[in-house]
Amino acid sequence: MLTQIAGALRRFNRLAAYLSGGVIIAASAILVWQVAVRYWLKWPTDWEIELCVMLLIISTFMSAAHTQAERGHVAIDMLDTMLSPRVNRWRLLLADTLTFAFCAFVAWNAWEFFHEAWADGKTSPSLWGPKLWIPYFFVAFGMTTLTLELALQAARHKEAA
Amino acid sequence: PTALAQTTLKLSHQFPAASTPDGDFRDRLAKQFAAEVEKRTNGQIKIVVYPGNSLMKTNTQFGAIRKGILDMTVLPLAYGGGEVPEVNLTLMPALITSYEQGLRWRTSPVGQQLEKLLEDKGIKVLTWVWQAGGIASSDKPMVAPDDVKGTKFRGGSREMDVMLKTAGAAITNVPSNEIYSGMQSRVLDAALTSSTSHISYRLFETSKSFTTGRDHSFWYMFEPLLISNDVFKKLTPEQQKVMVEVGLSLEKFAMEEAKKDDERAAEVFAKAGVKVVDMDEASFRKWQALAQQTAWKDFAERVKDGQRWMDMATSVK
Amino acid sequence: MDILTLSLLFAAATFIALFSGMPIAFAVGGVALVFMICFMPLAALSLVTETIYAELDNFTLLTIPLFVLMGAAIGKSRAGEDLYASLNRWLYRVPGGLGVANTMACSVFSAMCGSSPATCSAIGSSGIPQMRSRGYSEGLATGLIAAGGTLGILIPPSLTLILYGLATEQSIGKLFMAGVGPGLLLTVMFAAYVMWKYTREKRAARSSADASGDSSHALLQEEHYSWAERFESLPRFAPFLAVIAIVMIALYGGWATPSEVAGIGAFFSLLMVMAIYRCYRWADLRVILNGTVKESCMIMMIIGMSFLYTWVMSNLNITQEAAQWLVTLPIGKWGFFTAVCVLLLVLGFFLPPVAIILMVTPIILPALNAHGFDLIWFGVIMTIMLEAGLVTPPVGLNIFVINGIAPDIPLKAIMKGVMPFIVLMMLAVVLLTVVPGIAMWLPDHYQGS
Ligand code: NA
Ligand code: NA
Repeated sequence: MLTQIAGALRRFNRLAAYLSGGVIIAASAILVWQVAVRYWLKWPTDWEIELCVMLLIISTFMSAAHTQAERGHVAIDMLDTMLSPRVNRWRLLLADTLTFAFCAFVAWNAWEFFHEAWADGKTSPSLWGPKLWIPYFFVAFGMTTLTLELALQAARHKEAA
Repeated sequence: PTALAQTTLKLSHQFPAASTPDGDFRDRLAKQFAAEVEKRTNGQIKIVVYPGNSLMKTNTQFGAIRKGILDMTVLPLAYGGGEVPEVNLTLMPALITSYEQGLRWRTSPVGQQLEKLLEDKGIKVLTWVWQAGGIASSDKPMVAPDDVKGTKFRGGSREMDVMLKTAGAAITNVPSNEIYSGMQSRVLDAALTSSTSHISYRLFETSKSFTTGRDHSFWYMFEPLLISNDVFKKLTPEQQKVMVEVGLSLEKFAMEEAKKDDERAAEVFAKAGVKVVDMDEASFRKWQALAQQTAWKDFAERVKDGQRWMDMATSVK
Repeated sequence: MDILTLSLLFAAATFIALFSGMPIAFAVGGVALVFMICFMPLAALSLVTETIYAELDNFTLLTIPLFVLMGAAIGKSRAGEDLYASLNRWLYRVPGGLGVANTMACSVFSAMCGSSPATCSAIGSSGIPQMRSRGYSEGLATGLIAAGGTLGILIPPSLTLILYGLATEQSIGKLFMAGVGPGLLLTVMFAAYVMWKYTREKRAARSSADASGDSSHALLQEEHYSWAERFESLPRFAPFLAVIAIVMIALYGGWATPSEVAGIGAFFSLLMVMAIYRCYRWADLRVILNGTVKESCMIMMIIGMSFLYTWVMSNLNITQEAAQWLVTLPIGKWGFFTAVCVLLLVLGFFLPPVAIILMVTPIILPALNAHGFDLIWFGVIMTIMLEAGLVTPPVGLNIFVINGIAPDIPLKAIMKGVMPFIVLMMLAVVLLTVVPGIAMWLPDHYQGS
């Protein structure tokens, strides 16, 4: 059961990561568009940068879990070779637990952050003025999937220890 | 804690630290306030000033002071426009016509309603500060609405953008730290900001003409000294009295310094070889007519009780 | 608790968290959170996500994922290999030629972007595997890119110099010009070191080959290319030159701001790789996408969380008190200068350059003025000191970026490899102090125009 859930989560995170990559490409295309229409057509460009900022923040958070699954969040591994394997197992279990605790807190706080923006109908103060709950939602969602991924990794470590 | 215990308050703002007597006056305002309060409370209240975003990011300050996480700030109030749309009134094109008129808001219904609204949101105003602004242009001077037609213009706020867009400007949004290089490379043709920011962003190095904010300006911004209500309520009545009095006493200082900066901006740009022009009465009237049809209307329709706010504001002579 | 105890506690907690094996991003975030709980009003906890978001909500910073995409498109396709193979035909006679080429590439890339991790990532993703496959030691290949990447904040355009200019009310144009000379100086110093080190590594490989009879080391593979073979490789440079040309025209021709250039570079690099190297199948694209998101997410998470860390440190007033204390020391002009450099180096162990500039500059500025330092010159010195911070443990963003690109190389090897470059940076600071003209010649001569 647990392995099935873990598998489903991994597949979902991988999909989210590929989409995040697509979002980064989209942001680059929007910038090319902005530069082109501003230079040749003298069009106003009042929403492009703000949209790109949102897209790039969304892509960062939505790919966090997949990055963690592939151990892409760099850690200092110098003690790995200096301590005994037994001590290392416990050290890594502790590290994973602390990481989980921190991310769980941020995830919870991010949902609050999202909820506040949603309830107050907060918008960006610019002329374009998009609703802010949209990017905030992806921050909270991304932190949540990251936290779940960390929980699964910690559980696996515990089995190993 | 006892009332006599020392309280340390943190004051954060986004402006550069003033290292010389003619440095950024908003930082000097904060420091003078801190020194005077410390003196008059015999050291009971100590205020630490964090300039230049060194404590908190510009955009976080409004929310943080509401929640009592940040104690004090000097803040362009319109930055809170996404959270409290009413505050867009304080950066409304051609609504304020002079510093004196702006300060009369404080004792008029519009100012009192504004202070009450802010208090409901957890913020107390200590010093009323208005600041005029001008337009730096990398080509010909921007004086009347016709001049901005077809230019890549950075208005910097919602209501200014609404008006400039109707005037035919191509609103171009670049981050504030890229105004300088944007003007230099002509990605931007013109930028609108306060006289002080024109100086501190060093736009005189990359522009050809400058429309000053002295005499006539359609750009007046409210950037008061604020304290969090939560924090204020925790002070003793005597301490509160000192804070209010010191705040009030600095109003004149702020106005004079803002006026000086309008002159200083003109000098600095002229010295850098930039063509400096003032806005004439007729051009200002044109801007005001345009603002009425665009930004004022936008505000009246979009914001709750918007028309009432506009009526109160326009009734201040 | 007094400020010294608090600072030591903060530093100790940082070391423990980082060496525990927690991912860097969450280790610095966790330390910040614990200190918030212990020493700040509880209400501050509700601002954690907002602080991270507000700091990331900055377009200049968000160019990093775009530059990473640019690097990945070239590095994860055949394009990078092809480019280096062609370069190698021209440079194989020069000892350490490929390393020198990489140093130059870092310099050129720095002239396009104001970000150090972006430079590291874009050049390193093809540069490191290519140098490794030609026998360069792990330390030399990674140290060179990590250090070369730091030039991003010295060679204009530079985000840190802009912030310094705003904080000190100095001309940003002049600061940029002052960064050019020292940027070139460091490039030459780095390149010279690479040639020297390469020669030593090759000699060591030869003597061990003589001893063991096994001469299979990549450094000892003799190559020869005729002029015909060299010229044959020339067309292969064309697509890269085209992308660089598009970027340079956009940047210097008034089409785009430095940040927008990131998008243009990424878009056209990807387009080039798809059109010329035929990487349009999902199998090719997924490798590029996966590499891009993993690395950019890692970097952006570290940056976001380190803002939380910075916020807490600023709130506890540690940095400001340290700077304040320094200003009051009766140690004279050059004593003060040395002390400031040491402070910048120590702060650089923990904090990113931007944070240090924002916190330290306002406090030391009056003293700098009083001692009569040229603020343009000092901006360059400060930037070089902060560059060192990008490659020093425990928090050294460039080191982590390299670790992300080359996960098989242990962090220890990277840190060891980068040490000589830190020494070179310090040497550059000394040189600039003795001969300020290296920085000041250009701004002084262009003052009129
Ligand atoms: Na640069
Ligand atoms: Na460091």
